[in-house]
Amino acid sequence: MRVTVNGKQTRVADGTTLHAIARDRHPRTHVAVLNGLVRSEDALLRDGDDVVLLARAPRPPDGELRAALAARNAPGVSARLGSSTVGIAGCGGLGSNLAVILARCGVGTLVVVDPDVVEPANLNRQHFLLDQLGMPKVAAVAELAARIHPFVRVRPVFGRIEPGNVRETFAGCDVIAECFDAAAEKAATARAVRRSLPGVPLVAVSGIAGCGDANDIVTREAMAGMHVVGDGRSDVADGRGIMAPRVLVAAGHQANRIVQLLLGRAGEEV
Amino acid sequence: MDVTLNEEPLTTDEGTDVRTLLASLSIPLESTAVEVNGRILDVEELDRRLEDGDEIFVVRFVGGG
Repeated sequence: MRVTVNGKQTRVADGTTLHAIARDRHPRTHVAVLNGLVRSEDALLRDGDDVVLLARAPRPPDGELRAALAARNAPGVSARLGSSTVGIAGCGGLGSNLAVILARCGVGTLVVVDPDVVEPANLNRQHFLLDQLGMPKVAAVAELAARIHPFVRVRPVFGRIEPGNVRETFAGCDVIAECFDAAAEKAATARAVRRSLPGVPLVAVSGIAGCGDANDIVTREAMAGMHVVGDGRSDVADGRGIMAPRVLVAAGHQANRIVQLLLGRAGEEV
Repeated sequence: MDVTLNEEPLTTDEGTDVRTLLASLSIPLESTAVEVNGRILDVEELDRRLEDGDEIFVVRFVGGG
């Protein structure tokens, strides 16, 4: 029978077990993952199984690293995500955290667009580090993604999104995320994306300010092809502030809906 | 005349345009995305007259991100 071991198709005898393959082929194995599940007990392998054997060691060779990065993903989704492209309009609280989540998922290409540099007041919610102050946010995100998942390509665009450049900037994207802060900018981006790239799903955010209940933040398809995350009412203009917990909840909602869209919504079950 | 707004039925004056309808519902124009019969409208197009049976979707954006 054939199984995949650390990303390589391998022929093994019927009756081979997880521990046997670890002992014979990767004696430094520290953690064994079978079809996405970490297994401490031995298990009989079946044809088609996906086995990842992880050693406690410095960065492994590329092929092994690629398999390890995908080892805990839902089975069968990594190839699809790896060949996908996601556009991220705005790289602040939502966009920086969304980019990091999608990099962890192994989404193949991220097109990130933002005109600003990292400032101290961003650090209460945006996924940047003190030693990145002054860097363009898009460059800082590219640096973080490379340190998490080196096979994810980040295409940084240091500039503004305008109605006239949406089509060119996000050409080839499978899904686009609206990640701005100001209400008018959010709406203008949503209108421009829907107009310029009508067939591309948009995942936008409205209503995440303050410290209200995180369970009020939901994802819904507000109109065909336009998905909106948030509670729909909590506005920074009401003096609520904007903080990491609800921003990260919303970025997680966005990321999950994007993964579902990339998987053709079959993703809800995997 | 009868239209739908976010899938809810709504009766409005004959010949009303989108701008007037949104103003009557206190929905601010700058921070919304409006779609009529599957087509997104730019802010300049909001004077478009509505017709019986039009399907209107409105997403209102508030700030924070």
